[in-house]
Amino acid sequence: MSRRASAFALKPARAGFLVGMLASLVAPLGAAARQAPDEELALVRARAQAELLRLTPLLAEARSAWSAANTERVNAEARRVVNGTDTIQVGPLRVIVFDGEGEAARPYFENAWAHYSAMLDGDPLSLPQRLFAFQHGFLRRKWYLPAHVKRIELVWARPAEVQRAVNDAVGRTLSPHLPQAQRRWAGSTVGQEPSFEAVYRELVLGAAPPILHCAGCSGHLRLPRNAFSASAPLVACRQGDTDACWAAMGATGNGEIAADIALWYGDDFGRWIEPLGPGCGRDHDSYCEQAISYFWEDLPPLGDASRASLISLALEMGGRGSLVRLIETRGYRTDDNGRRILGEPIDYPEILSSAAAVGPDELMTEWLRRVQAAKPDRAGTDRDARFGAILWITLFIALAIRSTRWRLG
Amino acid sequence: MGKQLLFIHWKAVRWALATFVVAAFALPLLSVQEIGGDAATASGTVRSILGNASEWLPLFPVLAASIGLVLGMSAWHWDHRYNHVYALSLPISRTRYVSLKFGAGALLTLLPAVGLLLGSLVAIASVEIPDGLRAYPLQLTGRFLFAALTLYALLFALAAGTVRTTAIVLVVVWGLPMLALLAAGYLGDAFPALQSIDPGYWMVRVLEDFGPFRILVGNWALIDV
Repeated sequence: MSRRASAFALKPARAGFLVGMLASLVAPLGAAARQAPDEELALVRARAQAELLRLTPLLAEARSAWSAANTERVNAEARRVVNGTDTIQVGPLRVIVFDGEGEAARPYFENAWAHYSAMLDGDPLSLPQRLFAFQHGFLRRKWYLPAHVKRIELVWARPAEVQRAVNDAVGRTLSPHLPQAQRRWAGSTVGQEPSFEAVYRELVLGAAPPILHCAGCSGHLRLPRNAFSASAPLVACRQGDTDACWAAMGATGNGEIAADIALWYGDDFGRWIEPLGPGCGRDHDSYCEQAISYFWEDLPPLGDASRASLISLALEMGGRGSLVRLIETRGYRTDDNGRRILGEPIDYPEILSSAAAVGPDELMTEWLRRVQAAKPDRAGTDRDARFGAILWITLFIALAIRSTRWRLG
Repeated sequence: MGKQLLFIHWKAVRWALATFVVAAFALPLLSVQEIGGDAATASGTVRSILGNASEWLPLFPVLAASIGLVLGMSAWHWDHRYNHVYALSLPISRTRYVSLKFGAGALLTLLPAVGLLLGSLVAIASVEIPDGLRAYPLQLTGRFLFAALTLYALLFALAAGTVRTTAIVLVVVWGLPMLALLAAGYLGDAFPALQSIDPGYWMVRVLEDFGPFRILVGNWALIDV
């Protein structure tokens, strides 16, 4: 950093001083102008203009230097050596670790970066700006790190859990770069390996009913028995109808909540809803509709887990550059100014098929296949548990035979 | 010989066992009470029905563990009370004696297991299971039986050993985590490193990963996907 820049960095008030000086010069000139004849007024105006022209570049320079100094200060903070720590670099990921623990941490970040680098296809977005801090052991140790550092701190975790936490942290740095529509489906950790078993449960049970948070609401959206699990698109999706799966996830192509609700739950959905608050009841359909419209995103029978898993699958199938395609595909029509037309539904099949580089039908068929294959194996897990129990029972019987209070003499 | 041992054990635990049989029969019925009723007035999703049922789930392993503990502790009651004179007077090896005694207790664990199976069958017959869900009465009963047997075997082995061995095992299993909890609670301010220790997490990890208690965790649902 240049000395001049540091001077500005140390005294950021200098920019304000310049502005004040400019104002102090112009103000008396203006006051004099009010009292002067026309020719003097013109002269004063010209002098003021000249002063402005002279000082404006100085002000811009001051602002620029101040900004550069701030950026430098933030970078210096990121590079600041914390006693007892080391830093490792994996691709664009910079990770603070305790001294001597870099090599243990490196494989986790290499795996995470390998997972995302192909999807990004050489476009690392702003990952280099994100600093991670990683520790894993039997005890959590205290360390004092800048607030912007993303901490990954695990105690006595399995390697798979550690890897998942690292992937999760890296995914969290990427999610904010997604457009709003894509982020809504991907959740906070885009590209995270999904738990298809949890998704299978959602396919059977339907999504968790939303909890309402509005003034005067009961705080609980009460639905008819099996409303979510018996939703027509969900039932059809379970039976292999891929179009129904898109609809069950919320990609209906409708621009109205009433049409969506009718599609998901039938026309009489509204009358089953318990009073949401004063004025909302079975006799006030319009109020109910307005109230539940706030929860439109939470009402599809397939919820966050399903949608995020579909995004992950699309990224996996799309391979190289899939995440970039996911970000760049708009999925809605725009007006002449490039803005989204109001009320225009988002074409999620287009967005995801673009990311996956396959057709929407093919993508959803593969998703459904994986979800069905992840059906919980109750018999298998019970068999494993029984086998372990038999081993322990045998050991305890052996101990009981060996250990005795029968003593002679 | 086996009959006598079975009778002695039965005599020692019959009232407790009767209570356990009733509880094992009732528990599945209680866990499905939210299912059923008038569809026109009922509210809640399948998910919430399972959520209500899951509130009862922790009681299944607790009941199985209780049965195992009571049977295990009572197995050697008469032997300890009369200083093992009866056992030593028998013309059989210790191995055979222990096996018969353990078998007697294992047979007794079948009673609450049968109660649980009957209760589960009655429970699933009494409700209409929502589409997409299945009942697992046999799996639940199997898990229950093996959980009870595991805890019974553990206590049986402890009770068969010397007092010193029993004390050591109990201190290690229960005492150390409790000690760590107390240390973290009372000395945490003076020694900040203690606050980093999480005995509860350790115990859960031991339960889940290995050890005889692994069967106590897992899926105990009677009705599931």
